[in-house]
Amino acid sequence: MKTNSEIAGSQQEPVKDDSVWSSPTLCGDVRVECLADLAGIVTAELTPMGLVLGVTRSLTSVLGYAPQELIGGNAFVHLHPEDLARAQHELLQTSSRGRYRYQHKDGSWRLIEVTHRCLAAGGGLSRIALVIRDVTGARTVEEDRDRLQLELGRISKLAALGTLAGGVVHDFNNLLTAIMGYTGQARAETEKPDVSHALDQVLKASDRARQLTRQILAFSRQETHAPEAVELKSVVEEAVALLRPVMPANIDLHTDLAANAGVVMADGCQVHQIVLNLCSNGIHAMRPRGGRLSIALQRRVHPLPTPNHKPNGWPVGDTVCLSVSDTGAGMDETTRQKIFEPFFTTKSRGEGTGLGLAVVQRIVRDHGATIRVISEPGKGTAFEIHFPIVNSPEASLTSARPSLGR
Amino acid sequence: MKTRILVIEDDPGVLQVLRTLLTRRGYEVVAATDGRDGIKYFDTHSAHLVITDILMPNVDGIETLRRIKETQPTVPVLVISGGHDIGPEYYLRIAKALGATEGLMKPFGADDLYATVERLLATANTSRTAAAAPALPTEPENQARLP
Repeated sequence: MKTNSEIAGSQQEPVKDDSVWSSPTLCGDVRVECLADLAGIVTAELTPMGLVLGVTRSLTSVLGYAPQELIGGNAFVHLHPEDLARAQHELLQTSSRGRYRYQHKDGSWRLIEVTHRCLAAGGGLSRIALVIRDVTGARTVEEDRDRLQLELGRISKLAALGTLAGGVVHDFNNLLTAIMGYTGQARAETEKPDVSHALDQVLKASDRARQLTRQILAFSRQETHAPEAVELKSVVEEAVALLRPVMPANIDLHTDLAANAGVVMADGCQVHQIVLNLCSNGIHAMRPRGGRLSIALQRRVHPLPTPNHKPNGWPVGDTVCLSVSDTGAGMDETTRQKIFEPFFTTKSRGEGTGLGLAVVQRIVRDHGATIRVISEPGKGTAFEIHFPIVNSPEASLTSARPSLGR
Repeated sequence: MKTRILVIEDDPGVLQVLRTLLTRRGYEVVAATDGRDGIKYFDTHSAHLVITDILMPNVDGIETLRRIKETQPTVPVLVISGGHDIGPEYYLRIAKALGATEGLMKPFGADDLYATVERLLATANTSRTAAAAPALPTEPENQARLP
C-alpha cells in the first residue's frame, strides 16, 4: 500500500484548459474568502488525485496551515492513514459528505467534515470543490441517533408503565386479594406443617407482588402527593420501626435523628417509602458479609449563591438532610449514572424491580428536595436528601399522615 | 342473631373471597355486584357493616357511600380499593372525607380483613340500627349474576 506521500508524489495531474474552471480558482475570490472566514469553514479545490489547486485563507484558523503550504501539494498527505482509502473513494463520487481524521499543523488529529461536488469539464472529471468544517468534539449524527434511541426507549418504558399502572394494576390487586384471602384462610385451618409452610410461601410471594404494584403505582405519577408541615424525626422513626424486625442479623443499624432539625413540607407515607427503599438497597449492597447501615437526620445550612459561588442545582439556605449510608459494595461511575433509571437494577432476577430508586427520585422531586449520591466501589454508598425547611410560622406541625386503613 | 355485613364489589373473585372469609368467621354476608343494587338492599333492609369497593359500574362506591350515609349515618362503612388511574390512597382519601369509617387498600390478607372488620364492629353503635332493621334476605336478588 502506498503511503500518503507516495500518492502525493506519483500523481499525474489531468489539468485541462477549460473555460470555466481554469485558474485562478474560486478560492482566490475575495467574496468566497470573506464568506468562508465568516462561516468558519474552509473551501478548497482539488484535482481527482488530491492535488490542491486552491484553498481559502481560513485554512490557517481551522487546520493551522497557510494556504501556500498546501497549494501545489497533495491534500491526502495529512489524512489519517486509516481514512485515506475511504476519502479517496468518496471524493470520486458525484457528491458526498464524509468525516475524516486530518492532522492539524500542530500535530493533533482533528475530525473534519468534508462536503464536496465533482465538477466535470471537457467531458471528464476535472476538479473537486470542497467545503471543510472542523467538527472535532461535535456529536456525530450516529451519536445523536443513538442518544435519541436510548431516550426513546426510556420514554417508551415510562409510557408502558403508565398503561400498566392504569389498566392492569387494578385488576392485579383484585386477583391478589383473592389469592391472599384464600391462602390466609387455608393457612389458618390447616394442621399439616408442610402444607402450612407451602402456604406461607404463597403469602410471601403475594406480598412481594403487592409491593411491586405499589412501586408501579407510585412511579407512574399517579399516586397523589399530600404534603403537610412535619418534623421528619417521627416519620423516619416510624419507617425504622418497620425495618427493625426484618433487619438481617449481620447488619448494624445505627440512627442519629436530630429532634428539631426543622419543619418541612412532606408526605409522611412517601418519606416512609424513601427510607424503606434506600435501606432495602443498602442492606442488599452489604450482602452477604453484612455491615453498618446508618440513617441520620440533621439540619444543614447551605451558602446563598454569590458571584463566585453558584450552587448549580444544589440547595441553598436551610435544609433538613435525611441520609442513608451503607458500608457495602459501592458503585462505579457507570452504575451511579444509571441508578435512577426505571428498571435499572444490579440485583439478580427476582430480587429487585429496578423501580426503587426511580420512585425515590420522583418523590424527592415532588417535594422540591434534592438528592445526592456519594459512592465508592468497595467502601459503600451514601444518599443525601435535602428537604427545604419551611419558615412560615403559621405552618402547623402534624405528625406523619397515616395511610387510611393501614 | 348474626351480625350482617353487606359486601358491594363488582369483581367476582374478590366478592367470593370476602364472602367465604366472612362467612367462616360467623358473619351473615349479603352480596351485591354494584352500587345500585347495594343501595337498593340497604334502603329496604339494613346491615351492621357495609364493605364497598369504589370503582364499580352503574353506581360507584363513592356515590354508594354518600347514599348509605344519608340513609343511616351511624352504620360503619369500610371502603376497599385497588386504585386505577390513580393510586388507591386517593380514592380512600375521598371516601374518608365523605364519611367512610375506614379504608383498606387491595390487596389485603385475611388477617387484615378480620382485624379491620372486628375493630369497626366493636366501636360502632350497631345494635340500635340492627334492631330496627327488617330481616335481610338470605340471598340477594343479584346472586344469579355471580359465578
